[in-house]
Amino acid sequence: MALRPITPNDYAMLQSLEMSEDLEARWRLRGSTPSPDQWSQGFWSQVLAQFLVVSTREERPLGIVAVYQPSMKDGHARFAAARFPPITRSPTMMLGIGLFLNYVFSHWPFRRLYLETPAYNLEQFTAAQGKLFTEEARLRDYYYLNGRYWDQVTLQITRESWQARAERVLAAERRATRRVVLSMPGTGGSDA
Amino acid sequence: MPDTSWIEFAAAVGEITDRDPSELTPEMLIIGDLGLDSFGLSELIVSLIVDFGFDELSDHLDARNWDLVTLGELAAEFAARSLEAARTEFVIDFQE
Repeated sequence: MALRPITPNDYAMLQSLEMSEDLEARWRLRGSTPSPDQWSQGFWSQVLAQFLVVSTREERPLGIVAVYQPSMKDGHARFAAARFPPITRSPTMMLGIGLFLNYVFSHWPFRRLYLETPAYNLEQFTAAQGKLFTEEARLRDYYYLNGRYWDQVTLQITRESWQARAERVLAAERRATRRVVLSMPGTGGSDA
Repeated sequence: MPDTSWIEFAAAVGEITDRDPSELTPEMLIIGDLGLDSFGLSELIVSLIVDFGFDELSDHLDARNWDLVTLGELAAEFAARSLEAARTEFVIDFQE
C-alpha cells in the first residue's frame, strides 16, 4: 500500500463514501449532508496533511488518513483514519496508517497525536489499545446515535509508542514494495 | 500426525498471538476463531513477513477476504514459501 495525495478528482468518490451507510455514522458528518461546496471546505478545514491509502498494485483507495488541528507550540495534533467499504477487517489499512504515522512524526516534532472517536467505534481499536493507542480521556454521553448517547473517547499515540513499532512495520512495508517492483514488467522479476 | 510445515507454522502463529500452538487447527478462521481485529491481524502479518520471511504474504493483502481465510490456507502458502526459500538458498550455495 502507499499514500496518495488527494485531488479534486477524488471529491465525488470521497463525499459519496462519507455519506454511505458504512461510514456516515463513524466519520465526521454523522448523518448531515452538506452541499458539495460546504463539503470540500470542511474536508480541508484545519487539516495539516491528508492522504488516501491506496493499494500499490491497483492504486485502489483503501481508506483515508489525516492529521489536523496541529498545535506546533504544544507538540500535538489530532489524527483521524477511516477504512472504505467494502473492506472489512484487513491488515492493509493498519499498515497504511503506519506509513502515515511515520510521515507525520518524520515531518513535525509532535509528541502526541490524539484520536477522538465515539465509543461505538472502539472495537476497532481493541487490540491496539495499550500497544499503539492508550485511552487519554472520555466525555460521558457525548454523541447521540440510534436512540442513545455514547461516550467520546480520546485515544493518544505518542511518538515513543509509534517508534517502538515503526521499524518492524516499515520493514514489512519495504519488503512488500520490493516485491511489487520486482514483479513489474521489465524489472527482471516475476509476479508472485 | 501433523506435518512439519504445519507444526512450524502453528508455532509461529502461536508465538505471535500468544496461544498454545497445540490448540490451533487448520480449520480455524484467522479472524473469527483467533479473534484478531485489524491491528492484531496487521501484527500477525508484519511478524510473519519480518520474523519468518513470509514475503509472499504481502502480495495480495487487500485482495483477500480475511474473514474467510483459515490457518490451513496460510499454512499451505507458508510451506510453499519455505520450499522456495530453500531452493533459493541452494542455488546461492551452488553458485558460490
